[in-house]
Amino acid sequence: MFSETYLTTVGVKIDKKTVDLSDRIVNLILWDLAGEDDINSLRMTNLRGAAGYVLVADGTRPSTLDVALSLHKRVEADFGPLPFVLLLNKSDLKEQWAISDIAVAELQQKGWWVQPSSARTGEGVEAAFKDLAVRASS
Amino acid sequence: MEVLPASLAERLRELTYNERAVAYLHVDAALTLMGADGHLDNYGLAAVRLGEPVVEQVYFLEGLLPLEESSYFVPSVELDSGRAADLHFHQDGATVWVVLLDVTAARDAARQMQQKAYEMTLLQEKEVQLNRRLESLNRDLEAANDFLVTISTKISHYLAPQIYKSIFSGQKDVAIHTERKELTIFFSDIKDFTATTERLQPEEITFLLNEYFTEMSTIALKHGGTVDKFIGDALISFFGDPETKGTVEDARACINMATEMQSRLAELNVKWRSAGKNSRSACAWASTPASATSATSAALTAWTIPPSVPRLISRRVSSRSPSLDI
Repeated sequence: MFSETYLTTVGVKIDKKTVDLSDRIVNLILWDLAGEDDINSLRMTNLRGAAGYVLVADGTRPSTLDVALSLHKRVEADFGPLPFVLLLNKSDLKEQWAISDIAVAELQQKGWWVQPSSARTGEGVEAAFKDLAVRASS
Repeated sequence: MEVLPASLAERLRELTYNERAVAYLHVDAALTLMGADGHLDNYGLAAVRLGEPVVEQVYFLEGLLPLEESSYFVPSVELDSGRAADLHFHQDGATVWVVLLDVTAARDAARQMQQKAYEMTLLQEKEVQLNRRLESLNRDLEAANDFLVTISTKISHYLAPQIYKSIFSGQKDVAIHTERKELTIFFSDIKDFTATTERLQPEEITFLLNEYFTEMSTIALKHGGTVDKFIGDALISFFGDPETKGTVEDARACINMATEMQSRLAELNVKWRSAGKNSRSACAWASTPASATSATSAALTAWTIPPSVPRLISRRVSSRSPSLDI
């Protein structure tokens, strides 16, 4: 999903990522799952055994945040409280940004770790995985 | 189980093996790779080593082994080779078979459809956004329009209604031009106004003038007269622009107006006297046809009446008794 040429994810793409937390090295196996839209629904069994997850919404499209919130509810219902972060993608398109600071602040008040990110510049992505690695491995 | 004729079953096996690029990994309970064969190169797995831990060689199996049930299926997994495979896990005693079936073509078709759907969604959202922007622009336009209406309403208090109407309806252009026209000019003032004002408080004078001009203007408008200006206690109006019924009819309308003004002033005098405000208010009028020039600038449009005309009228007014002749 964080590639320069954006291609819709179909099924699952599995990648390996090593995160250096200074006191320890954490190896992450990342399952990039197809998101949810009109013709595709998330296959919940793909989350089985996950140590944590990253929700990605498009900051220029509020409807995608609604989908992310609903996915979070369903994951929590099926697998209990897992560490997760919410990335608000397309942070480089500030002039088209459509998610209010208030909405973000409300989620943060609930203890959510919310991070603006950009697939184009890579902003926020490393920080998100690092945070997730800390919480998933502690 | 085998219900297909032997030769057909064999053909199907061949088709599946070749078309779906079947490959397998055989893993023992210690997660060591015991065996591997089939189209391994299709999945970038040609270099796997038997007898070594499988997860270190095939990292996407991390977390999937050991199996929690007898069989498990993960559809459409994209591998480093770029190919997509369905992963079938099958428990066999203490060992597990991992079967890979190529689904790249199906994945590509699904992706193409997904991309189209995604583009469609984006277009729909764009349309919604554009509509919202359009509505917002419309609201701004309405607000600007309301503002203009407010301003023009305010301006209307400073313009004769006929002139206001002819300008704001677009009938008359506020352009710089000169025009000569036959008008019937009407001039009135209050007899002995200066002496009267010396006896009154400024508020009383304002009250009297406001009431007087309001009443007289209403009558002027009723008869089709254009109220040109108020100068002190004087009222100048004319007939013939922007609406005219012809010179004769305009003059007649002016006379009718003057008559009504006279009657109304008599009533006002009674009222003012009883209020003790002014016992000597009186007016006289005269009218004359005159040629006038409309001198128009970007800032102001006004009829300029040749000086001889007001002087003539004024003399006529002075020579009349209060509240009397035309």
